[in-house]
Amino acid sequence: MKVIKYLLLAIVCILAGSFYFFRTKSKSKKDGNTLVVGIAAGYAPWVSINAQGDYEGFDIDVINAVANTMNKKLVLQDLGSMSALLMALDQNKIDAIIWGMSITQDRLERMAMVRYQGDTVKSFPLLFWGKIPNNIITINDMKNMTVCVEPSSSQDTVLSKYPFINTMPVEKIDDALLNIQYGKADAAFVEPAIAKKFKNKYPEIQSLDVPLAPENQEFGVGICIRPADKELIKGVQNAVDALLQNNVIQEFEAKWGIGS
Amino acid sequence: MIAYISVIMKGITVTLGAWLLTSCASLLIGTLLGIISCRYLGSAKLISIIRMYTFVAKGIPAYVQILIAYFIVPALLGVNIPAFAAACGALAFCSSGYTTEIMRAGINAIPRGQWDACATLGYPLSAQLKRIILPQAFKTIAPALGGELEQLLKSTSLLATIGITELTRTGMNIISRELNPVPVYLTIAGLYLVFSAMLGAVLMYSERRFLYGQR
Repeated sequence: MKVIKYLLLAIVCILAGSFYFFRTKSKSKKDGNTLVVGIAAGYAPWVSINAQGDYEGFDIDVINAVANTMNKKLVLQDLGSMSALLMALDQNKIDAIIWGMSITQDRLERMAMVRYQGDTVKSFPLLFWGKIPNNIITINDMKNMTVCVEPSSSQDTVLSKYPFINTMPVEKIDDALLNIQYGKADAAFVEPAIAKKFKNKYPEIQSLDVPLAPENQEFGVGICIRPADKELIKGVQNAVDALLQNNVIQEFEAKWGIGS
Repeated sequence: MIAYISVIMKGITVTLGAWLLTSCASLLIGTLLGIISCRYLGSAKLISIIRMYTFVAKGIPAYVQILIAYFIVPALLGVNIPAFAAACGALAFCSSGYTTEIMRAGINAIPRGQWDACATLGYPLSAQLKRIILPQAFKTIAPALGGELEQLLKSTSLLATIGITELTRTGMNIISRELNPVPVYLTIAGLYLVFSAMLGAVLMYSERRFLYGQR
């Protein structure tokens, strides 16, 4: 039994040591001159990892420029998914989120969003592989059809108003391509920027615009910040305004093929 | 795909690194708890505590455990646990629940006479376990342990949920850039198969060499 007691003691010591080590490290990570921003790679052209293993994309260029303008050191934290990003912001693990997130009424009720790109979106495209069936003129004609959608997205909220449509949740919106290509779903409901990306790669994709009710409309793309961080919101807003005024963000849009 | 070789290699390194760490931790903790909770050594109180642990570790999905380890545990303890450490810790915690059960079942399968013989010959407990009990138990549980280690290899893809760029997430990132899901997913599947085959070969070799004494 002595051996077992020593082993248990060793495990407890290792755990305690780890906690102490990480506690010391965490203090140095966040300070007043650092901007810790949550991202989630795998969402090209907004954020992705290039062949060299570095983060790149429209959002990365924008947030680098914002941090430079604010004279802050930028720390990017890849959190993998929307739910992880929102939890991290909630828990003060990060200062802001930049991930091509659309500004919606729903989100504005929960957090502050500083718009840096895009105009008001009044419709979302419904994508079909090949021809749109003749009997489908509007979304109301899609009774009992299956539509791919990203859970918790603005498209998901809109689709919930059409209970006669079967929704197929996909973990990554790029997986919707597979589903419509191989006939597992009839259509995919996506952001206009994603539709543009898909159609550029696969010209056979056809789209049908679904008009949005005023409460579902989007007001561009924004950087999410906790509402209580008034100073940070003001700083980011000023930085974004300066970048827009100097056409820096417009140049990034052209570089990454985003926008109209 | 060729252009992405270096990021795929990084993904492989993270996947195999996470697997090695979690499997070592799982085997260590599982063996220890399996020994403590076996019917010849464990006290009723200790056994019920360990049973509670295995119930929690096996009952909560690994995905949820990773989220708890990364978001909730640090908030409760007031520490900042890095994503990789949190994810590996959660996977090890989850897998240890299974290895504990496997180990306990293997040790319990050793006839009472073996323990009594050791005691009669005056072997200390460490020698009893090392020389007599564990070698026999391993012989029985080797396939089940191998299966658990293979399962753990595939579970490393859950690390992606908190932003760790392991092999599967590397594939997702390439798909997002190139929009070519079929070849990328097939490549990732092929790589996992290669790792599983390598692990299977190592397990088979160990079974023959160390457990059955064949060369």
